[in-house]
Amino acid sequence: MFIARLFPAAIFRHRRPLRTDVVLPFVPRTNPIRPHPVWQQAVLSIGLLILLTVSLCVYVYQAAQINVTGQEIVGLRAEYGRLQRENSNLLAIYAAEQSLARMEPRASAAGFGPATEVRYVTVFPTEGVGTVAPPAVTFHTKQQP
Amino acid sequence: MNGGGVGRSTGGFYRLRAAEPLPAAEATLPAGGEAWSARSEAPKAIRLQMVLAGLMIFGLVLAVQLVRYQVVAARRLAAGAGGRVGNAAIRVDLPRGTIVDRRGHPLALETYAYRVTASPRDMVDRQAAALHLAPLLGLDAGTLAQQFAAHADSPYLPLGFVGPAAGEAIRAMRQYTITAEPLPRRYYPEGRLAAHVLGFVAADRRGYYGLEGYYDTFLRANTPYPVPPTLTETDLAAAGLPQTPFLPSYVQQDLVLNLDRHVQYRVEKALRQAIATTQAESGTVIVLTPHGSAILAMASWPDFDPNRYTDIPSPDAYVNQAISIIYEPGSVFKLITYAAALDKGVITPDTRFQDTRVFVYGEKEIYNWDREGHGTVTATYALAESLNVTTAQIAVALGRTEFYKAVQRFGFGQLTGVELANEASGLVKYPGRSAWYPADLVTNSFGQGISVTPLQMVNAVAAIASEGVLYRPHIVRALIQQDRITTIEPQPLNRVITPATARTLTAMMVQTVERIPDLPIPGYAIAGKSGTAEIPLPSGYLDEYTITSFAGFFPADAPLFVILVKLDRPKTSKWATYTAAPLFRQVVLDLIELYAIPPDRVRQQLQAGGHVRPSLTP
Repeated sequence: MFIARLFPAAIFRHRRPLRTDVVLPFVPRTNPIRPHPVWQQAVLSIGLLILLTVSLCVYVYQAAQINVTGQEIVGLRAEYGRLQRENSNLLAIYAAEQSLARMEPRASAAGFGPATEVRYVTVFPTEGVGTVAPPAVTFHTKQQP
Repeated sequence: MNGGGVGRSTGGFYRLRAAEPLPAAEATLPAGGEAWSARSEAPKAIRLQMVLAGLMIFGLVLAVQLVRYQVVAARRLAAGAGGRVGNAAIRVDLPRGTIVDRRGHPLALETYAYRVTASPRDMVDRQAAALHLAPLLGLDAGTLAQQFAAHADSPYLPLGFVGPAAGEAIRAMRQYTITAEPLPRRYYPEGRLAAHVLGFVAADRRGYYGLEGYYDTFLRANTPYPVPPTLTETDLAAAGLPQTPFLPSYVQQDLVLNLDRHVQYRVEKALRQAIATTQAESGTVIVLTPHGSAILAMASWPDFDPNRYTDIPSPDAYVNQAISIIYEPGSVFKLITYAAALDKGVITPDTRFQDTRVFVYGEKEIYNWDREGHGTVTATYALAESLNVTTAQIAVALGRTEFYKAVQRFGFGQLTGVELANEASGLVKYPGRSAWYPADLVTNSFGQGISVTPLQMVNAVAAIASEGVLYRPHIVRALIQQDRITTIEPQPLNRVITPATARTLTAMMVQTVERIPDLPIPGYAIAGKSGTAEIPLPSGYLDEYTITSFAGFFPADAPLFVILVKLDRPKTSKWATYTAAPLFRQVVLDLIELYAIPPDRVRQQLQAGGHVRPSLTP
């Protein structure tokens, strides 16, 4: 019922049965394609074969090249990653060597220490070629607590 | 729809044929069913249309909401989630960017460890594999072979982590039954230095606390093999950033801080010594620049080593006390009261007050620290002697409206906006609210009954040093993201007092410092104020211990550094002048030495000649 509502019977009502009493005229024609000689067919086949072979070779070569290049990229990427990691680890070692917690004891052991006297000196800049302003030196001493 | 058709039919789908017998119940329907059925067609069609319309509206609402949440507000909502969702989505092989200080020294960077696993099930010769692998793992070959034999059916046997050399050697073996997977690990080359500022990265590769927590999403790379850096040293120099081999990192999502590791180191050392000397339970030191509130150092104790973040006595060690812990500032807060009163013209440095032994306001008795009256005093003397009674009188003269306006202008009770995780906003009671009483005006005026963070307090003092302009404190100097460098400029928030008021108050603060024994440094004018605060309890205040602090800046005439030190519950003395002030002095001496700041007279001579200008540029 549902389908009948969707497709009204009028659609089917006007369909006519096929007529069987009509004979269609059939006039056979000559084949317009004339067959080539055998040697031409052979040449054509060999040519097609060569073309196919060349195409396949080109395809295989390209595929191989893509594969090889892809492998090279994968290798280079792995190498890049390895170098990145190595560089990171070297930078970490470099940073650790520069850390103040390590440098201070080594500096102390080498005889360095906080300044006990600071002297401030004013040096006038050069005023033109060949003339130097008289040096004015300001002196101050700071005692460490 | 012929005779006997029932009104139940709708649209004809269930229309009964005339020949079918009617059910007994329906056969008894009254006559006129045909007419009734025809009448019911229209309302039912309308109902159907209404239902369809309702469904369409519902669908439309769903679609609109979908677009709203997935497209319009997606970024905001994702940011609001703070990366808390999707735990499983974080990849442990993604590296993070580097964090360097203002001179380009790394404070946090990535290194690699190699996770070694084996598949004993697939091994052809376990003995040979054990012989090859054991030296690289630092194990005995026999023990390793036994381990393989014990897990002969296992396709996955974790063997722990090894260093780069052993890891790469294992990878070079190209054995599919033994793998060494490189995994990034966060490394803090300075150890405990600035641990609270940096935070740490946990095993799940998420950042917690500090900058690691605040910039967690920014620092994390999206791919294990980012593209090579495109920024050059020239680009960094053009942006005013230090040229260092650590920048840009190959992740190219890096942070350059205002923090100076030398200052941080000295400050932490001084804090540790002060904690040991005073036997305080904890402490904090912050060093800012006045013009811009750039954070040069931020130290808290107890601290932790972010390289071994699980090795702590208590999770409290993770907490950055400079921004996350609130305290009653005590007499340091008098600076705000005096600033507001000077700015409004309520007082001048020479305004005289009658300092009595006790001052009663709002049924609250106010006493001085020595429980004595000081007679007729000037405002300058009252500040230098830290007199509560006079300060309360000034607050009353100023009025609650102006006082709390000033408190709000100076940024108390609100987040400073510093780029660190877990910042607290402080606690300020305002008039008109149920918890506020009139007596709060006078107690708040000398820093009692009001809670602030150390960063809020030092930033307010920095506003006085910068001639009245309050800046947003910031610790990040620049962000490097791929080929873009974003420099963080100082961000002025508002003018809290006039430049004239700032200069007047600075002169008063200098006199305050000069009255404290052993604090002044010959040749250098220092502006500052001490604060000794009682510790609030639910039932009152703790008598036994205090929180001592000292805030100030120098050189007073052209400030370069603003400093706040705070010690919790020192045992040797309960007064700031004997505990916090010496620590403040030591920090000032360290800064003078590190930045080669000449004495005021020398500096002024040099500046007058235009030859030398002290600068914070490394």
